[in-house]
Amino acid sequence: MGKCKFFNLLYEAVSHIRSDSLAILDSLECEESLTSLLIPSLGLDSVEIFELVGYLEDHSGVEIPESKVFSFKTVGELKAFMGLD
Amino acid sequence: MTNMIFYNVPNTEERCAAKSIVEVCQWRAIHQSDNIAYRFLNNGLDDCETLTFGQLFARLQSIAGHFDVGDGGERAILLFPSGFDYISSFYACLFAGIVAVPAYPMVSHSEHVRLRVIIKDCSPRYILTTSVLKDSLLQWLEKEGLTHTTFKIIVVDELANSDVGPRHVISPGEIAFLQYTSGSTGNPKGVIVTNQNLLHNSTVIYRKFEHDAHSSVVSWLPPFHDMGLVGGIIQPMFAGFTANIMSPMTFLRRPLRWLQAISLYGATSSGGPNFSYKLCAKHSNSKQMEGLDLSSWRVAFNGAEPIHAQTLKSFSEQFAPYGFSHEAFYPCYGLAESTLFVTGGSPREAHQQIIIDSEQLSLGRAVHVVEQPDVKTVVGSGQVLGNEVLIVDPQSRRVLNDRDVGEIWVSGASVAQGYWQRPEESEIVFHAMTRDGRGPFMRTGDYGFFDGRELFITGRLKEVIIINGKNYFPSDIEGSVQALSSVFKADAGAAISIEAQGEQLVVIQEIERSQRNIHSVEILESMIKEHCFTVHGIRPHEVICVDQSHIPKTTSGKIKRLQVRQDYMQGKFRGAQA
Repeated sequence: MGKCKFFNLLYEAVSHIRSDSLAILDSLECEESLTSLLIPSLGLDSVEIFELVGYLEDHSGVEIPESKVFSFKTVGELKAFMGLD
Repeated sequence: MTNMIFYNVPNTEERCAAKSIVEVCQWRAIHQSDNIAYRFLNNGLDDCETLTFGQLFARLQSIAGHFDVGDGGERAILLFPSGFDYISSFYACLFAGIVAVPAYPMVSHSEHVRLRVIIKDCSPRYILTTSVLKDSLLQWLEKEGLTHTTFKIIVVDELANSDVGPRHVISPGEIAFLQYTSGSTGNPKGVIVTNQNLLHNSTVIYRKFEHDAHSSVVSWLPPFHDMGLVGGIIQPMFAGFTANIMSPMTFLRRPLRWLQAISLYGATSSGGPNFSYKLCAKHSNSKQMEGLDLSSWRVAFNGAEPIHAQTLKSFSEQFAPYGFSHEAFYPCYGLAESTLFVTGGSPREAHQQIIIDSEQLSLGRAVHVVEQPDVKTVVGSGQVLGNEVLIVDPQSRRVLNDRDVGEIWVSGASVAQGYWQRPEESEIVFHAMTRDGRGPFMRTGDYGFFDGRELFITGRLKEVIIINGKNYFPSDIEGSVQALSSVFKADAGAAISIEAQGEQLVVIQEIERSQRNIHSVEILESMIKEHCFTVHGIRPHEVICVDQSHIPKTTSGKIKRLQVRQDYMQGKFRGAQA
């Protein structure tokens, strides 16, 4: 998992926003389990979701429009939108 | 208008007296046409658009031209993201005597539910929106079976090409707008705010914040709520200085943009609920704060949710090196039912903070103590100006003495007229009389006490838990439970009282999803039970640990305890037990 750029970015973002939630990312075993991970299972409240989006934008250069913020169901959908490896 | 009361408007060369904020707008459009009224910060910083008083007035007149003459007193729902279209539309309504009804732009499901209820409640004649939201609005209306035969939709940014001319005659009505309270999603109530209420409360804020022509504001607050609308948009217009507005989304994504904007535009007044200060302290990083200068910030207001001494302390520590002055903290108290503002401190003095005995507080008395184990630090919310505030025993309606805890009752010209089309609830809330016959007062439902002239807020009346004659504040129990272990999700628990052979405590607490399988639920529940007994001296009737997102909250994340109580009575949490 350590090789994937998106995973590293997400990991950094979550550790920055709510380090308690890292346990769920630590428990992932393969790329498929990351892609299918439901965003709510990250355990972030709505303010923290915005913080996450801000962090991802700042560190990737990809902009996530307001209307999209709550439209992603899985981490895979977010990853695909951002076009990161 | 029934009451022709004129208010003196500050920072007008020849003394201008107005009976509506839109007349202030007109005066400034004529005499200060090129001054910047509003600056919208697209990215929260230097990428911005400006709107002068002259431009604003032309824009609002052209929107007002689309209201039919004779529709004065009809309602118009305003459905916009934060920005100039919303601001111009709000003033256009006031110009034409149409009752403005600010609504949230539809993003989430609960906002759709809310909009449906508001439409049903206020029967609007118009819906004003923007081309960005038009399609989703039309789709939604069709799905809801609300065809546009009953109301007219005005897309304000598409009006440029229309053949309807601007409206020239100003005709403000008595009611300025309906402020729907956050309440529970399915049951919002429209607070009736008159033009007079708005000018009276604006005068009070102007004096309490010690504003002048050289003040300026940065506001990221949602402009559809009393604090963002009356504080962030109306106050700068009343006072005649520039308001720098950014979207709440910009702030939530990058909280430091708020402080950077204050620094960049030299703002003197800016603020928000306690959580916004907490969020900034969390995001502080020396790289982004390089060059930050917060020395212009004189009024850092903090209101709308309980004010934590700890938040103020850590914010101060982090931002003092960037020119933030501890004296700038401005705790205040208010509610939509009083237009916005009720009490606040003095910008030149540090806010008040006192240490009182927890045991005595639960008996309804605030007793000063020095630091000892069982104490509570409370932050003062300042003093009253321009209205009257009493502390009253909610049962006997007796007016209480200094440092007795009771319900906060308000009367004065800032107090709104009632709830839209709810005569019974309006009578109870807005026409309360004290036992000795004083009144009418508006019952805030908030609990507090006076220490001299300073008002301290201690909780919400209806949620107070009384066991064996002692009062317990839910937030205290919830906070101490959540501090027990990181397994218990912060701000995601509810302490409620139920009737079971006398009043009993029930605690519902969410468990962090990430730690869901690490601990046995039985052990966690008994841990909370034991804690309630040893620390608060209460043996809870029941403790239930549930998975995350099971406890109902308002859009701003406050626990809906009354709803929790209802859900509990219906046995909903037992089914969701973790």
